Amino acid sequence: MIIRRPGFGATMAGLAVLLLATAIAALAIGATGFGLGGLLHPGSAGRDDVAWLVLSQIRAPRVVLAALTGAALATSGAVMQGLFRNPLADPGLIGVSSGAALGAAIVIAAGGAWLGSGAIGRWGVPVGGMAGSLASTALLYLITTREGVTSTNLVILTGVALGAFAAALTGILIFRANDTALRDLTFWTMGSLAGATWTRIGLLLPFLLAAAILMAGLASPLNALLLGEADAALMGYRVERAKRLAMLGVSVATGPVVAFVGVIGFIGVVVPHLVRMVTGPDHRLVLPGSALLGAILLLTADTIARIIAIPADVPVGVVTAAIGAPLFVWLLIRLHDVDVPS
Amino acid sequence: MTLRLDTVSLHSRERPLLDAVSLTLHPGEIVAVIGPNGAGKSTLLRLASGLVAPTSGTVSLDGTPIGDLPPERLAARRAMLGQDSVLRARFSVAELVRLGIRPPCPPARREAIASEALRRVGLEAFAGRDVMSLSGGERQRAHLARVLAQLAPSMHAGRPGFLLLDEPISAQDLARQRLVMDIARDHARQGGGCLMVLHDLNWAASRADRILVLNHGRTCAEGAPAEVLTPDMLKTAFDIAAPRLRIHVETERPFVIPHDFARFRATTERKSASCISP
Repeated sequence: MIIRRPGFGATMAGLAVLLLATAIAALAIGATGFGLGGLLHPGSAGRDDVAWLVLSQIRAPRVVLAALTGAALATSGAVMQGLFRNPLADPGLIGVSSGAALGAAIVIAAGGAWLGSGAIGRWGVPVGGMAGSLASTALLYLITTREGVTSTNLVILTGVALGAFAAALTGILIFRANDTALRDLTFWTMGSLAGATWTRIGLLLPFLLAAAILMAGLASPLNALLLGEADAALMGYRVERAKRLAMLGVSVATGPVVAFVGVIGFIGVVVPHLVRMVTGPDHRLVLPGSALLGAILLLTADTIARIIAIPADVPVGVVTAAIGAPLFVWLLIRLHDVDVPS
Repeated sequence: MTLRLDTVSLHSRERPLLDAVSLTLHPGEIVAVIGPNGAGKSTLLRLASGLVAPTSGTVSLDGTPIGDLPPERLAARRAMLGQDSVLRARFSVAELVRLGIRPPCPPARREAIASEALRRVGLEAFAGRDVMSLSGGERQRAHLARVLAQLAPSMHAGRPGFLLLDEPISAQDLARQRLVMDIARDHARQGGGCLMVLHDLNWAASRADRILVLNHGRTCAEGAPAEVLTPDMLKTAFDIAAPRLRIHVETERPFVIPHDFARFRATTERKSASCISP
């Protein structure tokens, strides 16, 4: 069985073009029925100011947030799958998402009492999400590390338990929440990009940039880890450091994203597999490829979520799961296996 | 340039896996480690590679304790072929071999090192093949190529390193056993050192400069093949009753016949009543 691979440049260029096309389509489609055409031919409709407002303040930030969220979740999933050599791994599996949701939920539940709408209020939710994901990652690391060695099997099992515990605490907060907080809290359990603003994107960017820098150095160690931890160490890779960086990068990427858009499933699990089907297992392609395809798919899902039940806005998490799950099963049946067998 | 194990011991919770074993591997030398199953041979290699730290004793490379060397430097000076190298991804053979070459390395040079390594193990025609589609022996040689590629950059820079091979011929046919043993010999000729675990006593006898016999985690014997491979040692370590030994007339190296030699005839001889049983 001879393996043929598309080139790095061709793959990335193809995905970038696809992302651009998806973004333009997402900008053009929406509940208000303003197309891009109205902007290109000023004066034709007489409603240009409204159209411009809808595009620049509602659709555009939502498109950007969807792309960033999709990229962050998919890349985190690719890192987790490579690190744990487990095809099901994603930030949700090891409880990072639940920790982030709990952190943000605590801020929101407390919010009515002491948070204003000023800087603290704006930073409160993403910092809460970030703190929640970092705290759950740190706890996970402490529990699963003995004498500097982190057991990856233990990480998965403990992560599942921590995630369930954090979800239970979030549930208690929801149960005890007042009406305002309840609406905000419920919105996470399904995930939605409806709250996108340029301010939020501005808050998100530094975290995602930091995560991107952390993850950029992980491609080679993750490739080596596909041979097992012993061989990776023999090949001169600092395996334990790679594990720490990967867990840190994933929680930095996932925490604030979950804080803003809630828990969106399936993107983190499915996208890396789709990318590997084309590029093969090399993480130097899988990581950037997942970022681009994650952006494309979440953008598509969110556009569907916006228009499928106009004027209602279906939570995007429902769309990704409703479309993603059957698609994934179909792909598994067709391929009969995946590239990262446990 | 030496790889030295100085009275190293490794204890697991229940029992000592290795007990006060010393060994020095010099450049240009092949040392074979033999011994029955569970004697501690693989453990010795894992300690020599720095993958596992000894409970007591020291492992040093060129006088530096192996744990003090940065992982990248250590990887440039020694490479190890494990017994259970697994690959959990659909890499091609060439991609697998290139994994062994640490970045930074220019792509063209990586390519050249990888194809040279594949040529040495006789897999140049398999470069594009899916590693998972290979036979066990081919896969073992693909991993050997990866290990050779790991040492290639420093080899080219005039600093040949140490090859640690754990049963490198266990999955090989007769011709490929010779190929792999020749690779070890070449490595030693170019100034590298090779420490290999072998189960075939005759390959050990014919190719190793020295043989270390382990039994129950302890050194049972160490020295030139002719000194080590004696009927007494074979009885002690392997519990083989009355093995026969022959000495090669040119190389003076021993040859072990673990069966009752008198019961066999040469294929050219005619059958006679004295040497066959009905």
